[in-house]
Amino acid sequence: MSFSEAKNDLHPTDTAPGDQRIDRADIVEELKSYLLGLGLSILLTAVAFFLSGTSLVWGPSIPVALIVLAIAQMGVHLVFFLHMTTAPDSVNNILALAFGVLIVLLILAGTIWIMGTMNHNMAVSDGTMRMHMENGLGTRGVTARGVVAPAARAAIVSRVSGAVQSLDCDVKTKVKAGQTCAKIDAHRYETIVDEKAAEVKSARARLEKREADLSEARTGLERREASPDRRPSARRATDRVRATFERVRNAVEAEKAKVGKLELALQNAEINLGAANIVSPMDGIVVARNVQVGQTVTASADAPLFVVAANSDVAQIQVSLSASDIGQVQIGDKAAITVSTYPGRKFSGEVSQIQPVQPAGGTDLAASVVITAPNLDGRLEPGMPAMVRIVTK
Amino acid sequence: MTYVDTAVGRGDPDRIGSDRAHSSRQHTLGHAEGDLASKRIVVGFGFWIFLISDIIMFSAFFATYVVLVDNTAGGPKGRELFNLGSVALETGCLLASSFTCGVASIGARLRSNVWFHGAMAATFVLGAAFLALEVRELGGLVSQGYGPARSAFLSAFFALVGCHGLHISVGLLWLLTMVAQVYAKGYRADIMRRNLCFSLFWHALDIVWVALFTVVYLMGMRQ
Repeated sequence: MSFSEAKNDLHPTDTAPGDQRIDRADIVEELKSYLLGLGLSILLTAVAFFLSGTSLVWGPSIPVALIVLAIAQMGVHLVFFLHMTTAPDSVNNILALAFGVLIVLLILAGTIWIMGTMNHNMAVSDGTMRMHMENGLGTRGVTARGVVAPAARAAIVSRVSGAVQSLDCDVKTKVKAGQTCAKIDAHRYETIVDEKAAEVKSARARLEKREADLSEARTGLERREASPDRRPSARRATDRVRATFERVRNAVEAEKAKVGKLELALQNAEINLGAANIVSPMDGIVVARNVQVGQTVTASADAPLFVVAANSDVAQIQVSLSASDIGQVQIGDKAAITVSTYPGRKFSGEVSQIQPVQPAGGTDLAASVVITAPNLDGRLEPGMPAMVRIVTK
Repeated sequence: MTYVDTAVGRGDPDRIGSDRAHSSRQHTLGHAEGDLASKRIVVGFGFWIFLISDIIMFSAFFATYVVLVDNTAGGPKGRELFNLGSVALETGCLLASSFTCGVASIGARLRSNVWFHGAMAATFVLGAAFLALEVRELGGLVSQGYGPARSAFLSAFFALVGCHGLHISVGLLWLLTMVAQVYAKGYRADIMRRNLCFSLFWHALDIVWVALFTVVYLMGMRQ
């Protein structure tokens, strides 16, 4: 009790890990121990780094040497930094450490042995391996290749004939509804519109003249009928005026009909002129182009200049499954989709359609399966080859 | 009598047992016969058990890494990604910080502010340098497109190295709180117990790093 508290602290009957039983006078010794530990660690580290890059030593021995050096350095740390010794006062610490080392060895050896063997057995081929790794091990399922199909397609056809003057769209162009994709030489259609406009103009002028005649005839007729003259000669004259009025009125009607017909023709010509601009009917992405600049196209619904696939929030992937696989797949099964453009990214979808098909020339029943996947960010673009793994129950 | 010592600031107010009363007793192995250990020893031993469990957790990460190291999914192998110069610098920083951490505990025992705070500052700078180098390395990999999602190998690599880096980050924060506690309250027995735990933690992280640079980097360069 006469000893100081500090003295008492430094001389307990046991030591905590990291503690060293020394007096203040022994501080220098402790510092020396740290320095020795530092020196040994630097030496071991330097040798390890040297060995890892050298070709002076027999290659296969190097990993073993590296592990031995690492264990040696851990020992140096334990003894010189953590002050683990075999002295009786740190027996508890050593026992705990020994138990920890046992568990660590069990985990490492057990994992490397079991998983290493499994990993080796799995490695059938690099491609299969990668597919397994990408699609998740341990789940039962069916794997197939397919292509991302658009939800809706529209063909852009030309409604007029002519030479293609310019192209604004190509495969993979994103288009909006009404956006111009190509221009057909419109010169001919402009001429027709001008001609028709001139015809409409002259027909209207004729109509105006006839209408003036008509109002003059109407005025004359009304004046005669307002002051009736009962003499036969006067009555005959009135009849003649009336006949003239009827004739003029019929002529005006005929002229009106002619103007209407010509205006319709003008409208048609204007529509044809407008059709020289080939536009996309909807928002989407161009997936096919069948036309070049300078090519003469004809108005035909059978020969689309472009095909546009609609932008959609869902993508559909069509895959074919063999007879042996089809029995396992049900509508609603989850599917993982990977595309080569986004390696490592997995899109999820589900089976939405199963249609049996009879493959040409074969008796083996197969089925065409449609996988529907949400595609809000539009990453699954039409035409992308896709790898699909359907998880079966 | 123990509570009088508290006022002086040298004694341990929470001392378990009364080994001082038995100070004349003979030293025995592991105190089998009811001689209770001092609180410093109990705390140190308890933290030692925690560290061993932490190392067992690291061993699981190591085992995962070793199993997955060849599964590169067509991506790069470790040899194409690692820069041994940077790793050597990291190793040097951590080793030196482990040494300065030991110096700090000597300084604490001497009650020397210059030695304790100086060595703690050096430990912090070296630890922060290690962390900066590691963050630069991992950030560089991610920006090249070789993030943890690229392959099973990179997932395991990021998990293992990231877990160690996370421990270092926690250790640096702990270091700051230790310095603040000593600064505010002096070298009290309870604070010295915490400092003991901190230095154990820091040394243990260096031991994990020895395994890490050997298994991941040095052996990775040869695969």
